[in-house]
Amino acid sequence: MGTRKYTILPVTRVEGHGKVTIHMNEANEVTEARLHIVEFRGFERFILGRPYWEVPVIVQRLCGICPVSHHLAAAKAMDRIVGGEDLTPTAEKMRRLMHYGQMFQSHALHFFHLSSPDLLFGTDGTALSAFDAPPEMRNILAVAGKFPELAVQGVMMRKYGQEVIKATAGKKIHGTGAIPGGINKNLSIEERDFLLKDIDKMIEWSKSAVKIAKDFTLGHVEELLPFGSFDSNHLSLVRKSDGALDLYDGVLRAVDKDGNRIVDDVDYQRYLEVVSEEVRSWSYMKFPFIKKLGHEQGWYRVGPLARLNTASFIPTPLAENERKEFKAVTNGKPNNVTMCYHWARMIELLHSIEMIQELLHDSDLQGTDLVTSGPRREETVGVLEAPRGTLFHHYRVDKNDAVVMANLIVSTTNNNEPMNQAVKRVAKDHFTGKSNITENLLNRIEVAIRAYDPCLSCATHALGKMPLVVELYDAGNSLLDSKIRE
Amino acid sequence: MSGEKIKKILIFGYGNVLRGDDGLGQMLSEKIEALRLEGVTCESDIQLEIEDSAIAAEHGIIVFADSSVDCKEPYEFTKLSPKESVSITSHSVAPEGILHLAGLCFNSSVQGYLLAIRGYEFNFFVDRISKQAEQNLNEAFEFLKGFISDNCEIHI
Repeated sequence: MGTRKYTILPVTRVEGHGKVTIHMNEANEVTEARLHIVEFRGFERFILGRPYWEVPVIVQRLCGICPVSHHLAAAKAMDRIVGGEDLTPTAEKMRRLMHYGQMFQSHALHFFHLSSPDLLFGTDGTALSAFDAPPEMRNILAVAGKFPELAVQGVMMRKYGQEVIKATAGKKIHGTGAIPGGINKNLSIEERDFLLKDIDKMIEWSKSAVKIAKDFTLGHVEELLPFGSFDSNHLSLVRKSDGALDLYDGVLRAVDKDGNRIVDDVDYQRYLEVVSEEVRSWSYMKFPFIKKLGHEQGWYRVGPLARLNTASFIPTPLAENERKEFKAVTNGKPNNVTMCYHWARMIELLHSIEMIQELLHDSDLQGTDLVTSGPRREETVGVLEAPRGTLFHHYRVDKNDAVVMANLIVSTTNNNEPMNQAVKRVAKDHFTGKSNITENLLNRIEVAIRAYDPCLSCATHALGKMPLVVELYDAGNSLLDSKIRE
Repeated sequence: MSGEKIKKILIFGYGNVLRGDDGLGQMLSEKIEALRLEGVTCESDIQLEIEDSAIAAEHGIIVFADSSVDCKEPYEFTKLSPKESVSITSHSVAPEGILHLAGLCFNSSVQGYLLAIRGYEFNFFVDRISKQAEQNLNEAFEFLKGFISDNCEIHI
């Protein structure tokens, strides 16, 4: 029986470019669905030969979306090169503040700019379902037109996170704050007071954002539970001492779909004993999996949903209350509902601003002991929880301080198989029996992918370079139909 | 322009400096910043984001500087109007979208311009610009200095 192949390229409102192909047989049944992502591995070659102390700054250029995550992951790795992994309290807390600032602004951007149209339109008593908002409404400007206060909140929360980054990293982009073994500045009283000025407002707005995501989820349970959903393992860092949610540092923990511990708090310097990557012929991006389970059973989710499934608790009161409510929906078991990423992400938004508040009241941020060092090493791993999930940086340097090996596993790569599973589930549930790609079907695919907040960036946007192309091929790879949206 | 001079102007250069000529916008912003002109704010980023609308709203004029793969050489300068529609491939916001957001969220009537500088080489992980792009950048820089002088209450 012959097959048809639908191609959707690139995925909209996802960082960078992606392509979705849906394979159908002559009976219009979906036989396979895949998300293809162009990943540029050239960056690892680009930094070879450069001195290790340049890496935390250069690596930020890898991504315009979460440069701070790369900055800090590289700095954490380079701490070990200079034997300075036991940071001074000022250095560690400044880095944490920077990281929670990044987490806050990134989650705010995703929610208000990218996913809120999915959540806000079509849920207002019209005939539209959660996924049927017309394309002209699926952007931040439409949100601003209909919910102006919400749009202002989104913009100002982003701006606040950027101000935290500027105060800790020195600049909003390409900051230099974290250096091997420490940090190059503390937080002045003026900077602290500037950030404290709006903190109560940010907390209130974050609580409102959690409510929007929660109400949307609980109000559309029947529609959302099956949507792009599947059982999976979940992996993240958790705090070493007690398993709490810790986005900056910790040990690797993974649980299966039922909550059984399958990676039990392992030191991330040993990540290669835990995680391996599979190469598939049809994708540039690798497919990580938990080694002992193999590639068919061992793939896992990362990011906000995974973190709420692995962490024993959240160490800030408001977010912990929200986590308990979140966990109650699945009776304390892991939540495997793709669309619950949004709710989990907003709980982390609230946690991040609570952490920022706590840190701003800590006088260690005004300390002057900024850098430490110890016995030198030549191989190192830095891991943290970036907004989109676990981020691995692995380097070797030679005796001349030059980087001779670099391996990065970015969050979106960790979520490669889950995003493919989500696309497959949506395709099978919604494309079977259809003979063309309607706006509604296209949006369902995008909504499923967007839930993971993938960053396919490393890219650019030179003027006129990013159209949306939809192509339809037959079994012989001949183009049957093509749509372009600028 | 009405002839009335503006007190505050924002130069916003954006693009990816690790993609060769795509970094032209950021480089132009940095060149203007080096002049340390009173009343002129310079920002640069890889792409425009929603919070940039708040910064834009604090100014009378914003000049977006970006590289272009197909504009006229050495650069093109156009006045922008706020637009409700943005690219739905929008991990970033289009300049017109920033103007629109500034109006909707902050009641701003900031005037927007786009200075597109012609680039030629956009390969990944190249942290230098092409020779021809450098010439275009210099010409755009001279133009922008004149524009600032003509439209803002400052002396260059």
